[in-house]
Amino acid sequence: MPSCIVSTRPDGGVSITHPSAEIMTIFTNGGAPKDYFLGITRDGQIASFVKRGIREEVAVKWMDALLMGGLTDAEAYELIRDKDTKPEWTGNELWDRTEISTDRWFRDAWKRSHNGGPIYVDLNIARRIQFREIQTAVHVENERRKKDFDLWESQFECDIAAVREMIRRKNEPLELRRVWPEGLT
Amino acid sequence: MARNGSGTMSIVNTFVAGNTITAAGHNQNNTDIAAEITNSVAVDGQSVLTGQLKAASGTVSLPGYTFGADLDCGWYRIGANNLGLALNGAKVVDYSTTGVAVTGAFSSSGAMTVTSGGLTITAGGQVITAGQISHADGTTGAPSYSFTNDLDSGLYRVGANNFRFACNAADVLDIGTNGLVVTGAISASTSVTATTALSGATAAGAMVATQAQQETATATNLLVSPGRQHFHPGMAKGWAEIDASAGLEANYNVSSITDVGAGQFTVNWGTDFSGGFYNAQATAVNTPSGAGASTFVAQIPNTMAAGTTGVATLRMSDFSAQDASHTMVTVFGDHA
Repeated sequence: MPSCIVSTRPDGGVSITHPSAEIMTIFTNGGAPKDYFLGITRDGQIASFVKRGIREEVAVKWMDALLMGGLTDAEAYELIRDKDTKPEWTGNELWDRTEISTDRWFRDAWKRSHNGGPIYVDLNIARRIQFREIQTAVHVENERRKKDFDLWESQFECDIAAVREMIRRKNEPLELRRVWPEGLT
Repeated sequence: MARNGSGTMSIVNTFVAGNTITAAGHNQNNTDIAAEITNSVAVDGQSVLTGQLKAASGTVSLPGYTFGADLDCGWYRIGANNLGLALNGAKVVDYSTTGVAVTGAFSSSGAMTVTSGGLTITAGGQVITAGQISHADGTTGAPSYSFTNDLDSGLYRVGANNFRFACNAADVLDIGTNGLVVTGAISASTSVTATTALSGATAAGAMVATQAQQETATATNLLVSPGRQHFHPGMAKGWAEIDASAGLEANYNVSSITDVGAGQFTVNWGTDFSGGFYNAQATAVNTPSGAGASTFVAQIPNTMAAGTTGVATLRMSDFSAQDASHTMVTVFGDHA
């Protein structure tokens, strides 16, 4: 199973870097076929990498791997980490992709320690997400009804203050997710 | 008395004054004279020689055997075992024990056969034939049609309807009913035209567009190879398809995708562009279900760098960044 690099941003947010299968194949075999990688020059690429903040040794290693391959999987992931994650990110860890939740409802609330470790949901942010999603759904529903021949006078009524209060009282992501006005799709 | 063997004839009976000339003696002399006149050559051609006709050696201008009407034309003896044929006082054929030498053109109305020794033309000129010149088959090392200074280069026959050109005792061109087969490179200083398909294992040389020529994109008479077609400015230099879980489904020239948040990605390219200015296109495929939203627009935020392109997919209903079912990113530009 492919792996990905999980990192923590300075604000505690989570960035997940998914290496391409193509680059892994190139790095762990004999490099890219001749002329495969576009109009590049080794020195030009290294200079460009360095200019945008990538360490020169990483840039050199990257170009050598691109042209000649020969890395182990671990070395390839390490090189991708060094090039594609930002220096200010911390807690870089190699995770199996199956370990990443496929439920991205609260993706923007995913947080993680700067030292690494598991991803958790920041409830304060999640509550705002849930509130925004309900408001958006109400808005879309009412917009839909306005254009409906039978429902144009019947707007969806929602006690937003009550909803907000319910959201505020939830302390677990799954419970929070279940807060949803009845009848609203 | 007949001639004495040297051609000298003497009188049989000599008569002296005061002696009686007898009939017998007189008749004997006449008989002897008649016999030798008979034994001589009649100039009108009645006679047939029974012995050798011995002539003076003569010279090229006055041949020993000549003609009354053309005294500088005929055969003459040049020397021991060497005979010349003179015409108009000049030698045109020289016969010797080593062969026949002709001065001037030589023609034959029938077949001419050389059984040994070969045929050598020592000076310039042409060999012209209205018919065919045929040779033995020859071999790679000794082609039938060859050159004095390069006997292992030339043309030879391999078999029925098949012949080859050899160079330095090695085949370089094979010609048969199926066409030509060349061993080694073919070069042409002018255009080569084929009326049917031109095939080969590879194409090389100036006919194949270089990276620079692809990037200039003006040539209309060069071959574009798979490994260089992407150098054309109109070709995408990278692309990626990202699924709803921020996974990379398919790509070209992508090192990785970084999932930054809902509907927010950074595409990390395998190779850098020559600067932060290149053409990036992004599209989002609508999500068929979800909380009141199904239509998306993809944006390239102002986060383009030489090696990375940020992408955001915005839900149309509230313009918040949300995951679309698929996001596609394509970039055009010049690489560093």
